[in-house]
Amino acid sequence: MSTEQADVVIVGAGLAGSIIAYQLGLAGVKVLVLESGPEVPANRNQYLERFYTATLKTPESPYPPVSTLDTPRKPAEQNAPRATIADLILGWDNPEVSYLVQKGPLAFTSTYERVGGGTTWHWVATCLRMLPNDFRLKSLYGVGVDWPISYNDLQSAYCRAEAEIGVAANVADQAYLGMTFPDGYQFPMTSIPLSLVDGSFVAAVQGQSFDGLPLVVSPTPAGRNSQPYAGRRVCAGNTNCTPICPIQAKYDATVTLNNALNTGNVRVLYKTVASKVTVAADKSISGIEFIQYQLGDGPPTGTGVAVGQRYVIAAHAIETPKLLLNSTSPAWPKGVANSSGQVGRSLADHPIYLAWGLMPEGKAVFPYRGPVSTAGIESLRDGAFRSQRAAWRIEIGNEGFNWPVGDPYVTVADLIDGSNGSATNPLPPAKGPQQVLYGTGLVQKLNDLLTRQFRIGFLVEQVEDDPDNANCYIVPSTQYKDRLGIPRPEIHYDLSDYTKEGFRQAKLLATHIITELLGATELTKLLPPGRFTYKGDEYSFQGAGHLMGTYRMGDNPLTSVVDKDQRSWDHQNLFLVGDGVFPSTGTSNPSLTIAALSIQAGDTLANDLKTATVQAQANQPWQGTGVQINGPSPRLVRYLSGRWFASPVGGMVDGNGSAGLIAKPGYTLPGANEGALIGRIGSTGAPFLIGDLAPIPPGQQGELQLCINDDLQGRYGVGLADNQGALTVQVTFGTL
Amino acid sequence: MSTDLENFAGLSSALTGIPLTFIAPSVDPIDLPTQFLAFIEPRITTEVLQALLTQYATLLADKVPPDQIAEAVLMNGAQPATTQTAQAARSIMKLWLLGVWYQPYAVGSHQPGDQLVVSDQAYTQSWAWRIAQAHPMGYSEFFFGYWNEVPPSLEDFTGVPASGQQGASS
Repeated sequence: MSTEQADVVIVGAGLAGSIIAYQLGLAGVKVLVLESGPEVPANRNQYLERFYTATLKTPESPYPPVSTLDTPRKPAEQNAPRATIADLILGWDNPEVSYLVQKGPLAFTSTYERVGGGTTWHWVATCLRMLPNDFRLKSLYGVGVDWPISYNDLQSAYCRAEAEIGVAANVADQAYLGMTFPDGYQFPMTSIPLSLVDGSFVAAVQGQSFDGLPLVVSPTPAGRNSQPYAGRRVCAGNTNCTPICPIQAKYDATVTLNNALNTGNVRVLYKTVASKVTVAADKSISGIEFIQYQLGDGPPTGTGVAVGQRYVIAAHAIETPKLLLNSTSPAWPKGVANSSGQVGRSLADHPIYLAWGLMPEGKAVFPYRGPVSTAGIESLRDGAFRSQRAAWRIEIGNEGFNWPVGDPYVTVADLIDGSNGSATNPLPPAKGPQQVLYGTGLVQKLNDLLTRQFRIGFLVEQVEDDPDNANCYIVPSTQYKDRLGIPRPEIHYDLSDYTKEGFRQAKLLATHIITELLGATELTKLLPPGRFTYKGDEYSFQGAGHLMGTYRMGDNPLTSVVDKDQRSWDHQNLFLVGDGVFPSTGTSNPSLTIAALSIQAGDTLANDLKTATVQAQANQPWQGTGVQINGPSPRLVRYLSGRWFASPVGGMVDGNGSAGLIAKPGYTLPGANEGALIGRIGSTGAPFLIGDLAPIPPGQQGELQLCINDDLQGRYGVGLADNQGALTVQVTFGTL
Repeated sequence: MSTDLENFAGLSSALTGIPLTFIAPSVDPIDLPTQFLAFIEPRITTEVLQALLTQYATLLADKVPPDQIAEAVLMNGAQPATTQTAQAARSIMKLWLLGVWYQPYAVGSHQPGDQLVVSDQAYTQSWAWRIAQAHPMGYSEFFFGYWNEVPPSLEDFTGVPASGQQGASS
């Protein structure tokens, strides 16, 4: 067994793990990342080629291990298997073909990747913020669980996440339902243009309302380039954000992972599966054991343990609890970090109510063009109704019937074979006959049908009836293992009546929009395998790929797994990150919030390991601190203790200096209080006021220097010679 | 006398409605007709292929219009013909429109229902997307923001005018 050492060990090279690795790398922290899947390919062509030639073009189709229907991969024979759409088709409740060991009663229909870069390879890049009220669901509406933090606590991290991802949006479009932005804030890029499909919805819902709330179409903030950004190209509208953007105009975590590697302080071990977290007698984590392989279905090639001062599990809401719960020991019989019993509990998704229709004859909307989605109806994400039923957002799709029907494949086959899998040959209410077409008639009919297709998806908030005794959870299977002998995730999944009522209302609105506001023919039908009956009606739901819950944050160690800093209540050197920490799901696609929370966790970790405490003397000119400031990492300078004075007249003061004594020209920083704490970056940097707390101005690199605000040149007297005292100052990571 | 390749391209054009100059352009570095012809022969059998090509060549020689050639190959009155040539022809149509080969009947190890994307080019050059006045998902040759504007006409994309013309120009 080999031993790998670093300051921080991170499990998972996806969005959360990459962001934290990058921040720590910039801070000079040595980081080791354990990634269960294969390395990031030198270019994406091999993934793209696999997508082009895949018969089953699912979100997972470009990525290893290959997922197909005709030669199913047995999860028991794979070293790093993952949940796939192919699993759901082949038998969602059959563990011989499904990696997730599903116990129902409902199917869990979301999937994910286990490769370098994680599931951001196949995300749509929707970068909605959570609403302020999403953080206080219990307080405001009496359901679910409150977060231990508020929207305002995440404000600056959201801004930083938007910068890292490169979000295209306009503030004016996003300032709804209580969302605020810092004064003068601008997203990194202007908004992505709406599609013609979006335009038809804008016109149709104008002035309309539902449940007393207005229906408003909003451009969707997207981690997708509307202009060149971070060395990546502008979106060419490949309509393929999921499964794969061919040109990386859409952000994925390999961008940040590469930045992390370029710090020189981060290394990644690929095809390295974390198998057990070990705990020392003092309750601290002592190591993470791993198993390595070379071929996805080949034998193990090595084992080892990764040892560090801090540990971060960033393997999302299924693999993270699987690892923690597989790490039982006599001292920790419930698994690691699980004294609350909440590890693995409250597994959630945004189950999607999918609806679709065909626009009236002559009203083409030209789908299959542009990004997969460019707008949504967000105005119904919050309201008093949340005391009664789940909220949702409505995503407007630009990919026609590709998702609900599998088009253009099905409609093409319908018109050639005389079948009606698409329900458009003929359109209801007619039941027949089915047309059989060829030649120019086939082209014209196909064109007529394909250009009128649209779909919408309601991302429904998932709320447990009793969040402390959740019906949805994951435990390690006692029966089924992967090829490495690691017990696979056993999933128990159900939807509460609160959530189902959200579906009922979604169905009502969908039909209203499609048939009455758009004047279209609705073609929505039940799809397997996510099905339930509620108040006498049958519904089907789709997975959003938004795996949430299972190690939630909170302010009570008895009912939560991590604190507001995402630090384990049980193990002070263990952090659990990603959307597993979400106490409630809200309705926003989770990745932006994952990124923001990861940035905060990165700050906390960097501060744990690299906070610098220095002294500044009153009688010395500019003093070096030894703290190197490097551009991308926001830093704070904070007065901790001590007193000094710049002249006996002002008396002993703290970092704020002498109120009312304004520094004159020639002082360190004219106009600020005499005796205040002043900083600059490098010997030529512009002085800035620190006082008792200040951010270091961004965009500068060099050593932080400190000085008292005084007459350095002795222009008005003896200069520094009569000064006394010193201040103790802390330099930390993060933002105000 | 036309070659098998010429007859295959002509048959493909008649079946799908895509003009021959689009199916088999004079300058064609991709050359899907050659690729597809080689691919399908072992899957539909040489006998069926030759029967199809002969039927096409005969009708062409009789100056039968393309849509009527397609009807003769595919239909039995108002119903789809169930002959192997008709089944093979329907698979050839899907191959051109979708880039996917749907095995029509059992031949050797090839079983009915087997599906295969013939090649990356078969996908990126498949016609259903262009018939939608769009592009294969994951293969856009357009520029940022194009989705905010009405696309070029169906005729621009396929050489076939729409029944009720929609698009920026024709």
